[in-house]
Amino acid sequence: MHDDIFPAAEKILTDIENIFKRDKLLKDFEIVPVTVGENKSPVLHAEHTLGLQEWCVRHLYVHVYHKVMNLKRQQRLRREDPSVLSRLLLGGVLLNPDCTTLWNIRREFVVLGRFDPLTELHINAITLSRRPKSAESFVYRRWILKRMTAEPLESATLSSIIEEELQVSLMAADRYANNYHAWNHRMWVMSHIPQAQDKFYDEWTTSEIWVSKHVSEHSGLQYREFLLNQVDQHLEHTDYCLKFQSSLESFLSPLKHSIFNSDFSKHSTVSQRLYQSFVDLLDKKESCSQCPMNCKENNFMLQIGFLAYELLLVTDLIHLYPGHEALWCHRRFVLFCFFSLSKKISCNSTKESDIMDGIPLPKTQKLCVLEIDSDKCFLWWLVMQHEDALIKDCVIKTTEESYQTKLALRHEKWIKSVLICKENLSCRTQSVS
Amino acid sequence: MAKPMRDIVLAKDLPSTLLLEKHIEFLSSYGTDKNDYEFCMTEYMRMSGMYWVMTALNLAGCQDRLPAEEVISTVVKCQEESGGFVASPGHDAHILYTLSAVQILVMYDAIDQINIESLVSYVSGLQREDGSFVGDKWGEVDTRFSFCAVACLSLVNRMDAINVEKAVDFVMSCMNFDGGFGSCPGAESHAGQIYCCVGFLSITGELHRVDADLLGWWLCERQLPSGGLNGRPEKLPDVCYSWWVLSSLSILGRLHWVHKGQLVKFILACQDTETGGFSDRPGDMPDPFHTLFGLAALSLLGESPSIKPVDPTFCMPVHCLDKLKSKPQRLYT
Amino acid sequence: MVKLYAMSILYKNTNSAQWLKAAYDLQTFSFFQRGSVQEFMAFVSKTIVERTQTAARQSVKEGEYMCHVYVRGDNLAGVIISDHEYPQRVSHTLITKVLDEFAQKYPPSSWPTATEASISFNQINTYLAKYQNPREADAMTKIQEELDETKIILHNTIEAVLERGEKLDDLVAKSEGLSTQSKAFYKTARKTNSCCNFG
Repeated sequence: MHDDIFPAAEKILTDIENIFKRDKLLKDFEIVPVTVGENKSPVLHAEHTLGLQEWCVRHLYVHVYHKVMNLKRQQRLRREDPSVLSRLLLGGVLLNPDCTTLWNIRREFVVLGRFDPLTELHINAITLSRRPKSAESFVYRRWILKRMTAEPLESATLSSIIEEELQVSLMAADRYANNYHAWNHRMWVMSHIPQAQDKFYDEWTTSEIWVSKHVSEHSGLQYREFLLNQVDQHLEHTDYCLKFQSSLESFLSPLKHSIFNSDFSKHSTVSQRLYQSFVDLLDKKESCSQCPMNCKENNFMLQIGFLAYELLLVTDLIHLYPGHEALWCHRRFVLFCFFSLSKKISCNSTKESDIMDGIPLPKTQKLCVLEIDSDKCFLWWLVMQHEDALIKDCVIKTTEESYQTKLALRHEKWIKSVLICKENLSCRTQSVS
Repeated sequence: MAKPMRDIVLAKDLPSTLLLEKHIEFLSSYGTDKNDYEFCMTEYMRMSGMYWVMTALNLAGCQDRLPAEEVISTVVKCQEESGGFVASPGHDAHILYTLSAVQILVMYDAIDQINIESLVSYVSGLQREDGSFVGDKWGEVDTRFSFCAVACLSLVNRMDAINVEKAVDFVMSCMNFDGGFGSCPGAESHAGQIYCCVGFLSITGELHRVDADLLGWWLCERQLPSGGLNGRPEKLPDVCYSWWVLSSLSILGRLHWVHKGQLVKFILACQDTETGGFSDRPGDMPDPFHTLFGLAALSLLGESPSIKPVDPTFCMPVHCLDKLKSKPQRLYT
Repeated sequence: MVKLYAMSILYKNTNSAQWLKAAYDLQTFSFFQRGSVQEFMAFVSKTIVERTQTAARQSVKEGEYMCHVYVRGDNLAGVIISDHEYPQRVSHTLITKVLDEFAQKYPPSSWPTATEASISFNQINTYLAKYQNPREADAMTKIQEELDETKIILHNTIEAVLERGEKLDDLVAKSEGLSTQSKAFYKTARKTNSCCNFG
């Protein structure tokens, strides 16, 4: 038995638990690099932060682990004094949140009604404050949330749950760069918790601020791709109608001269109709209610507006923060969406009414090879003008060997050889045997 | 002044030849001098640890360094009544450790020592209505678990036990515009998840549903100037991604899309010259996880005749898969 | 994250560098670490200034951090520690601007004898806060245009800046400016963090 090799353990665990009980606003846990123990408690508490001096960590965890696992192996967990067990399990998940087995024991006690789900969420959030990329912590969190939201809840309760989850995922994303699990959690919350969809526009706005401060983090940008994929379900918001009208204008105005001087007469009828709408928009500077596209009834234009907004945002960030692959990857996504819309426009089989009734943004689907070029679709022509300008600008502004130039040229190559490749480089499929 | 990329610079004095003897030493003594704390921290995934060590030793041609009988009986004891395997006695059954156990037993040609029927029923019981798989009874879904499930069943020739069509549909619903896959529908493309999904499709014989050029493009963009591969944009290179990315490219018939020489140089630089073993990046602590994936990647690259050929789908020595009724699919260009 | 952590002004003597003023923004670090992080950033800033030639600029990458230094012809030196996303061009421009303003307020003759306590130069805090948003750099277009980026030497580790035979570990161990806790913090931070899963 290893029970008594670290006599201070129970006292330390009690100190930790008392801090949780006392400080309902506790938000952080960290190991403080003090490697030699002094004659006082290694448990620190200040500014809602729980600190544990490093010297005791190994002894404490070994103590906790052996005690818990011995009880589990002897199937005595349920009979153990609840207050002793709860201290042990708290120390366990704080020190090793990746250990599924410890979370599983907590699950059993939640099922038995002995652990309170809200307290569980708090403890779990504290484990994430130290280990923001612990997959097991997030898995446990979702398990608790699924249980809580399985029953109908009051709207206010749901709102506060959603707020808290968005907060926790943001904290984890802030503390560990490109935190896959934090962003997955956020997407899960947005897709699975009732009412979370009401937050769509808030998320659209706050994620823009976040990605603008974390330009190397593809995970954050990918979250915006997740939001863009759902745009078609959220087109009723008038404020955004105005915003996207203005982004459409910014999208069009640098190209005004070329637009008026190009010949689009060979385009499909839909493409020509689109061209006319854009020309009207450029000609008339009217308020939304009088805008020629009448955005409210015209989801399609709004979707283009969304994409134009994102394309301009990425352009801006690429200029301000040269040399970030993540930004260029995100740009590919925006282009892919434009490309999919353009295919529909240039495709003769599509009825005009289909387009104008609003086509959902392309779900991330297999890229099918399709003949499209800027000679046939006005929208794609516009997008390609933007790409040409950006690539030229990056190549001129930076030195030949710079990473930004490489990224710009790689982007050009990707558009030509991957996005709009005309030949399907098909491969033979066969079994090894 | 060029902006530095997220990469490392390989110092000149790093190893550039394979130190196989040292790795064998490292692997066969791993865990024997481990202190109590490290054991307690990692026991919950011990079965996977055993799989990493056994497979690496096997690839090095030295599986006899560990006593076969002992390994087999340890693994066999970890099967629960449910049919699933625990990582170590007292822990809970999970598909991750079930696959590791099955892989070890297949390598030792000892799969008949367990209750295969209950194994099959455990794995098939994890499939949900939509075709996805949960990892254990608590219900988290992940494309990793889809891979584990079909890998287990394929290794015991019991693919008939699940709804393959629905399983494939679920995995395909996790494909992104860049050709990659994430852990669930809508999740970011990630080289580790891509390996699982491509491996899944190779086992189920559905590789034609991947856009191999598009995905291959994304995968080879993971190679950095240091030669190493990362798992997502603007992440640091890591030896384990040499495996996840490379095995995917290999299954897709596009191994030649990466610069082999530079990758070999990076992997060799991650060896620990003192203790043996590979680490994620030069200078870090070596571990069996990175040691296996370093050796397996070198095997795929065909650079070291002393390492046995590895199967890119199962991450097991090819010669251990003779008894498989249906071989994993590959693409050829 | 696009972030400026520290901005310092030093005077480079023949053998060492002395502090004139410094400002920090360490809110993103956890509470019990802040003290050590600040000590460490101060230590690195001073070390790098001492190893930068007069009238030269350097940028040093160390893990997640970037350290930019400029020692002017008159040995007034500025250091910025940022994360790797903060645009380097803006960092160097900002150092130039801050040093210019400092030199206007305090004449060169006062630098050798000045101490942090004797100097009041609150602008440094203002700048650290304001330039967290690099878009503010538009106001410095003129300095930016004059900055010759090709002359900035880029190093991939702090070790590359040190003199032959010097080791960062040794410098840390014998530094008087670092407390025992900060030295322990440094050791912990250098420990490896290997994955046994994807992550």
